[in-house]
Amino acid sequence: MTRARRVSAFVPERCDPELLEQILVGREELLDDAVARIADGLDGGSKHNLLYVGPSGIGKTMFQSLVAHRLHESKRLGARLCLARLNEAEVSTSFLDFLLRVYRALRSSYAESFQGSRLESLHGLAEEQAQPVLEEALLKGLAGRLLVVQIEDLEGNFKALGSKGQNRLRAFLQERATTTLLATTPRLFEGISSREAPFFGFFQVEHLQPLSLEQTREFMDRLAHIRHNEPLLRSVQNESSQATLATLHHLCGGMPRSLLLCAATASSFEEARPLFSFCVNALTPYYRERLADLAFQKRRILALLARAEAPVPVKHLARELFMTHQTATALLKTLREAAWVESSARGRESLYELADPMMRYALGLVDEREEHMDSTLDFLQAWFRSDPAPAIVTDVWQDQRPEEVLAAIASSSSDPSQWASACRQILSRAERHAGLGSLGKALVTSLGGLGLVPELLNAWRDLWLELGQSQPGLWQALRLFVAAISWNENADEQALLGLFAHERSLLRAVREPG
Amino acid sequence: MRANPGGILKVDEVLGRDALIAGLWETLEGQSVVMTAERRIGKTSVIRKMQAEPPKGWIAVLQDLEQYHSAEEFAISVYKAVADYLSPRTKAVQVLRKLWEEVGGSELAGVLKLPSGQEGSWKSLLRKTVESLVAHQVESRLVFFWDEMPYMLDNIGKSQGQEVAMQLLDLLRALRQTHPGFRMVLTGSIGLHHVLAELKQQDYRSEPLNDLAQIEVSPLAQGDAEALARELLLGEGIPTADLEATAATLAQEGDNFPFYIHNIVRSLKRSNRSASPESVVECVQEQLVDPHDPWELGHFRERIPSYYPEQHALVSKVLDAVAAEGGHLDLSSLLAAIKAQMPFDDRDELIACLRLLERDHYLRRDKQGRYGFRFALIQRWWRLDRGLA
Repeated sequence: MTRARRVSAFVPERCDPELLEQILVGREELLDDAVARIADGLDGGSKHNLLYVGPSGIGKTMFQSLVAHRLHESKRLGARLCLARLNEAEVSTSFLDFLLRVYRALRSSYAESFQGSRLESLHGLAEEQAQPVLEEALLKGLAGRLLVVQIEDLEGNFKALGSKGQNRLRAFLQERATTTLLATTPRLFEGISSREAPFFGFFQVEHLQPLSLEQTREFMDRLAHIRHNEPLLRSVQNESSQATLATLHHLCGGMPRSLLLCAATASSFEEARPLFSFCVNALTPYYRERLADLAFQKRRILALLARAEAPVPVKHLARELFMTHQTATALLKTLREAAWVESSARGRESLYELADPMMRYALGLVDEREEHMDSTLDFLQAWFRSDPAPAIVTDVWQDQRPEEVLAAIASSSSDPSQWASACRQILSRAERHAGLGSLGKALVTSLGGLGLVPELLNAWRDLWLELGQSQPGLWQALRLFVAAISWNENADEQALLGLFAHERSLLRAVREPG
Repeated sequence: MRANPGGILKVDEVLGRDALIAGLWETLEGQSVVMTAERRIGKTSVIRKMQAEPPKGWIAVLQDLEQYHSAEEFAISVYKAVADYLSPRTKAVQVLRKLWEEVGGSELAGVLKLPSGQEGSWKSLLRKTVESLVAHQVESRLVFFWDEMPYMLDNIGKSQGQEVAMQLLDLLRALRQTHPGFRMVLTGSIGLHHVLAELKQQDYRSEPLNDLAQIEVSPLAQGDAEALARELLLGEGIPTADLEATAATLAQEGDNFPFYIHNIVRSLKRSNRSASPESVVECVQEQLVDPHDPWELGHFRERIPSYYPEQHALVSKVLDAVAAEGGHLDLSSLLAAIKAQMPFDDRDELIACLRLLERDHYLRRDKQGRYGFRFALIQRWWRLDRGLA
């Protein structure tokens, strides 16, 4: 297969591995470690079985590709091992079927050692007859080399294999001691984490982590490099792009696939909106396809959660979907196990939300999605700037610090009705001069310095909620503003459960109760 | 030597098991063995080493039985192993061929098959195979290492019925009694006593394992665990200012379990920390409270309802009481502690429960008969997990 000279967000295995090497960020040591451990199994050495865990889009396939590339390219290792990369689109329902996939994968790379005629000799044999014949053919083809089997979606593969197939696979690995497994999975599952399971404790498990903000900058920098895009490269390093990069990093949760899509058509990182929109649109068919594999009731639940404006209690969800509480609970449990949703406890009830916040935008189920997205991006870009842009400081804040301006209004009178005029003027200036994000940030970050007693703080909240009703651009800021006031009032983090996890993380980063 | 928790170790990297292995070979001179141990303590590494390095006069065959789902498959695998062993002797090979014909076996493309529809043909094959083996083993004796025997019994129970699993256990016992030279080592991840308990619910009355020497695979001796820790720290190139003190702490914190020692070193390596007694303690503490539960210790709590369906509440209270106690508890103190937590006053039931907990490696008695956790690491985890710390 011809390798693409550009990086694909969805099929990195089809990309030129040299390109993947160039954009590898944050996982260099992990990759070196994987190669070294596999090499340890050469020539009858110890066999390390490696499992990398992480949600979809975190870079598991790219990692597999890079391990394969390094092993292939190494003069020291390449000739002493055989790599069988199993196609992710296939699964095996028996151990024989699994061996066949391994054999076919080997044949495509090592045709001389693994001849097709051996497969033909299996025709007409019963399963129990064919298996040992194929095992022997594999061993003969290996001729003392180490077999490295690369498996993606280990959970799906194990599920299809069933307990009988897993038993046979484990016995093969134990008895033959010629094979190392290099596997990935979106999550840990019963088949490896239960002490009763044949593969319990069998793998060295590593959890792939999302990219940090610093790594995101480096990643974008590398992407600009491989595209030979000088303006983009300069843009990554510009001070004015840093808030956009932080915004994209926050919304994408540091997931390389989403970040890659954000950068796919970028010519600069000055504005988040076009980059994020492209990413969302590119992910839409992917999410829809994943959803299509789910049972109807589960899809209904996910759609409801995508529409919701806050994490949803089970009771509410069951009522909205005309399900019994037990049915909803059972379905949510399986969705949580499959990492579609996550839950937070509020007292004795559990509140559910989508685990991947990108899905909310990509599914396009919220009528106000565009407005909300604008408001969120505007707010986040302001949020991640250390100071507002000079023009906004002048035009909106009249050359004063935003927090001081708001504190001065709040302390100007103990009669809340006296605040309204000044607040309206700020809102009007912010609207005229593209400063709503800055105003939103100031509303949230100034709370601790207002010095208002609870009753007046509530009046301050009500005033801004009233003003914000006609201003969709303040939508995101006001969500955080209201939650932060409630958190201050109650000194209880549960007050934040009206927000989604990625929103809560913003408040946690800057505020402490009290 | 690199840390390799759960992987298949090179035989010369299985450290600290020489005394155990020598003892096992000595025992095998006189009788067959059932090896018991908590999961991931290193049973399979021990038998792999025994298979690779048998003393003079022995030939070892290692079979992972979990792959077999019928008594026929098992009998054929034993037949094939014996055929391989006897292959240099023409006469013996002829005998084996004849017995294969006698049981009505067929061969297609090198694959052996017993006749379908003939109930018990596997028994004839197994019996006659063992007879031939014993009659022809002269210069060296064959010993079978049968790993994951409980899984196979479970598989057979599910696919062919518990009756067949019981018949297989009885036949193996009968063969051991009839042929004193026939040797086997049985091991398994699940305690065989659980499999037997399930069979006994089906009116199984035999004691098919009571002629076997029960040998428990314990964690390593402190000195061996330290040696392993040293080798791993050096092999992984983890910098340490005091190798000896760090290795000692590593062994102690890992409860001398090779699996945990490998895991701790792996974690140190992955976190790019230099190794010191303090960083080892910190690393273990992180593992014990890690929400991903990387050592899967949650299983010690989760399996309780299935292991002890009638007594799970009692078991939890017993473990809570023993865990909360810094040292050991005698039976009366334990009974008093349980009574304070739940309506319970049955000394005999408590004793029965304690016996099971000993067999499942939760608890053990000291020389005064008092109960404490079998492994300090598990006790430590239990206290953290149950909020008893």
